[in-house]
Amino acid sequence: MCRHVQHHFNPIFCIVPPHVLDGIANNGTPKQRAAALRTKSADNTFRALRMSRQSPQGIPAQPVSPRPLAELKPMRTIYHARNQQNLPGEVIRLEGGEPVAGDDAANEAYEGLGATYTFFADVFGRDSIDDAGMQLDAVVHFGDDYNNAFWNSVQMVFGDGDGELFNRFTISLDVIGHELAHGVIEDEAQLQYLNQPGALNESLADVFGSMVRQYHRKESVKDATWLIGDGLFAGNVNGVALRSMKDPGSAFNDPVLGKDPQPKHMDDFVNTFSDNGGVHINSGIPNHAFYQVAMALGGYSWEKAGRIWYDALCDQRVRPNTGFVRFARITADIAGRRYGVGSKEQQAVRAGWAAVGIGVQAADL
Amino acid sequence: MNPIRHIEFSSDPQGGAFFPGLAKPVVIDMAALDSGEAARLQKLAEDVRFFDQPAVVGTPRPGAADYRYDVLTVDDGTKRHTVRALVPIEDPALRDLFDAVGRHVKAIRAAQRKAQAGGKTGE
Repeated sequence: MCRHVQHHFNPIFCIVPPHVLDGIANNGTPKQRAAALRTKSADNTFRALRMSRQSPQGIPAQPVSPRPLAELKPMRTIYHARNQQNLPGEVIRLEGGEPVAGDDAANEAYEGLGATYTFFADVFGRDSIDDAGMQLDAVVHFGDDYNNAFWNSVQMVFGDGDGELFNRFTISLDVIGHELAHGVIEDEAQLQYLNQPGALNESLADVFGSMVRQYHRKESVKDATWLIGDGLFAGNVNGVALRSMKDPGSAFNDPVLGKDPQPKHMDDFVNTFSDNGGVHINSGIPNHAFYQVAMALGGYSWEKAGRIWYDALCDQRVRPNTGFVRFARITADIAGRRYGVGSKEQQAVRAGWAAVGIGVQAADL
Repeated sequence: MNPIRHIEFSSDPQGGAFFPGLAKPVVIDMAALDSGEAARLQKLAEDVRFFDQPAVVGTPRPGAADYRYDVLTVDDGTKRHTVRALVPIEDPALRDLFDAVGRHVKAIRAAQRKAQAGGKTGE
């Protein structure tokens, strides 16, 4: 993003998150305040420009990065939190640096960010999270026995797991892809992280996370596991992964964790106040719809099903409050525009959504 | 603060997935702890003035995802107060309390698994 700020380029503020800029703008010296306000102004202007270049209704997404496709490459930084909860920690590996001896989490994070960047660049021509070459930061060894990985809107953060329930969270490439995809989703659609829009947000992160792994391994839809986070559970947990896109609700059934609560059909939609309104629960429904579409189209998931889902994510009709039905209609419309009305691709999309209880009629498109 | 009787711990949201078993609060009976550990938890709760803490601590940034709130309830027999704290917890004293309780929760869940496994063996 910073390389678009031509007139007031300030290398210090390029990696400074907005809330820090706000603090400097409020409390810094006059010189610091002026620089911070210039940077914020440029950042907001650039974002407005990007918004105006978002894919309009029904038109496939086009890359906005000024860099030629052949020159797209990631800029990664891996930080070590020293098992504290202070972010971001110490830099332990920079882009192009040697692997960190004896630190699997650091090297998995580095490679995982690279694989995710490569997927979005190769398949969609996207230049990082913001399609403008945004630096990719990951923090490993966060907290003490910390059982989670999350995206805080600035960086990806990975715990080591407690060894009792979870292994280190970098162990699963689709989890790394999932967290980075949250950045892409926020950049394109700003889906609310609550109720159905939140579950759609979670599902899209799973869809792209799964495709990152499939693309990295060059797996066909038939060869893919369609699991999210396999390898993450410690040895004594009765489960295979966090979620299954192929068969939501079947990923784990464990005395401590409980049973996988994901539905795969609207008939079983879970109304709950927990989990931000069930964002990690009801995501099973659109996850399974994507699985159905990808299996019906065959080959590699990213070639057709993934392309349709990505174009839909970038479509202006996807708003922060978009739910399953609206998103389904947009995917079906895009399939018709890209491959032809009534094409096998459009029929597969409609059938995929129908399989989870979401009907998309021709009159809806 | 009177001597604490019970501490309850849970997480909601739990992070990158939802686990029904982890959503259920784990209850720590202070009377069941050795006196040194009970005194330590009591001091951590007093140091952070737990009953004066707001009900929600921390707000995720716009666009954040898969974040976790840890939820702690302290009951001293006359007062009961619940705090939902976004992880990472910025206040070091509050973080120390949550971390100390978290270690007990881990041990309780490990014992729960062992008991379940023992039950199965006996079947």
